This record gives sequence, structure tokens and C-alpha cells, in this order.
Amino acid sequence: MTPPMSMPNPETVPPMDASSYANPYTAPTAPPPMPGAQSYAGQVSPSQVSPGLAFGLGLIPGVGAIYNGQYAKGLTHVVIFGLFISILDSGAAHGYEPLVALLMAGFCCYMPFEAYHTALRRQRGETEDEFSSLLPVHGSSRFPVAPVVLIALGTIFLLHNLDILDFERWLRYWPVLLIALGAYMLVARMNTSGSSGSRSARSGARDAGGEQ
Amino acid sequence: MNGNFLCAIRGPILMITLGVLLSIDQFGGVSFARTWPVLLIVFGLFKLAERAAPRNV
Repeated sequence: MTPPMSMPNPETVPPMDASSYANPYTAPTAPPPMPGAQSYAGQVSPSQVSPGLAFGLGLIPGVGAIYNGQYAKGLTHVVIFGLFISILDSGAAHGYEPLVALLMAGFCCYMPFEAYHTALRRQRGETEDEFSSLLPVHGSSRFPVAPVVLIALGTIFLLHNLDILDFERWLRYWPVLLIALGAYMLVARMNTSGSSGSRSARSGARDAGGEQ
Repeated sequence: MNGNFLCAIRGPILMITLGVLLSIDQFGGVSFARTWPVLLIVFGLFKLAERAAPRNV
């Protein structure tokens, strides 16, 4: 693990004083101290960013995000891509292979476009943190979505792996997730319509606000 | 215990957790293929703690 304030890469990071330099490991979790403060992904000057190159590199899983300086997101893209291949290869889809294959194709299209739009935002000089459009880590502080999802996923997988919970039996209840998602969207919409001034940065609330 | 401290110990703690899990695997306990979600839980707990911690960066 790289210690904090390690040597920045001279090619990608223009020289600046160490106090304003955000380490890639602390950047996702540290809150933006000022509106103009840079995160790691915003270090390259906007003129050097090429959205076309980001699109081309985005065709390779994870590389588009890495081009944008979003290493955690690139790793996540690679892991998701690998999961798709594993599901298709191991026959764990149980007859849902076409669905998984279509999802994988959609994901392969999503990655370059996502890198392209992130590069466009960087070209405009906006700062992008490592988890942009991946996890609402800087989102509203009302409810910790990302940690709760991580802990819930970890608990579910652990219980399944230790044979305490029968995954196959509980998988039948997956439409409950849709119900929960609908309820969440409903609550988010209620909140945004109730207080239209406070736009939440969380994606659910943003979706609900954008569809109005 | 502020956010900087949590950020600093996150990597080492995750590494120690990984080492403990792989040790359990090596010494004939539960295999790592079954215990890896512990890493997810630890990571989530850190995220939760970082939210609760005062942010004086």
C-alpha cells in the first residue's frame, strides 16, 4: 500500500504544493473541502483531456476509467466484467444466459460512454472523484447508502458461504428488491417535491427530481 | 479518532484481515473461498465509521 503523500506521477500530475495534493487513497473518502479544491482525477489540466481517447480506451474494461484517473472505478469495472464472464462460463445463470449476455453487452457499451462523459466533464474543468456515477460516497449525509449496501452484501455472501443461509431459496424473493427500489424512489420524490430547493446529490433523488 | 486516522489505518487493517483469512485457509480452517465477504463487511464498516468521524482534513 502506498504511503500517503507518495510520489505523484510527473506525467499526469502537474507540480503543485503538497498540501493541496489529494492522495488517491484518501480522495474518495475525504470530503471536498472547498468548491474549487481538486480531487486526484482533476489534476490534469483540462486541455490535455481527450474524450475521444477516453471513449476508445473505454472499450477495454476498466481502462477508460483509469484514463480518467478513477482507479477504484476502473477496478470495479474489471470486477463486474469478470463476474459476467464467470457467470456465463460456470453455468450459474440457470437458463438466464441470454439475459446475462445482454447485460454484459450493455455494460461493454456503457463503459466507453461513461468514460467519454467523464472526460467531457474533466475537459470543462469539473472535478471528478474516483467513485463518480458509481457510488454516492459524497452524496447526502442523511443515509449512508454505500456502507450499508457493502455491509449487507458482505453479510449475505458470508451467510451463504457458511451454509447458514440458503441462497437459492431466498433468490425466489428477488422481486422484493424492485418493491424496495420503488418505495425508495417514492420517498426520494416526496422529499424533492416537498423541498425543491435542496437537491440531493444521491442518484435516486436526482432521478426523481429529473423526471418531474 | 478523526477521518485522517481512519483513512490511514484502512489499508493496513484490510491487509491484516486478508492475511488472517488466508492464514485460516492455510491452516485448514474455513477456506478463503467462503470467508472473503468479511473483507466487504470490514470495508463497509470503515465507510460507516468515516461518515461518523469528525472531518477535519
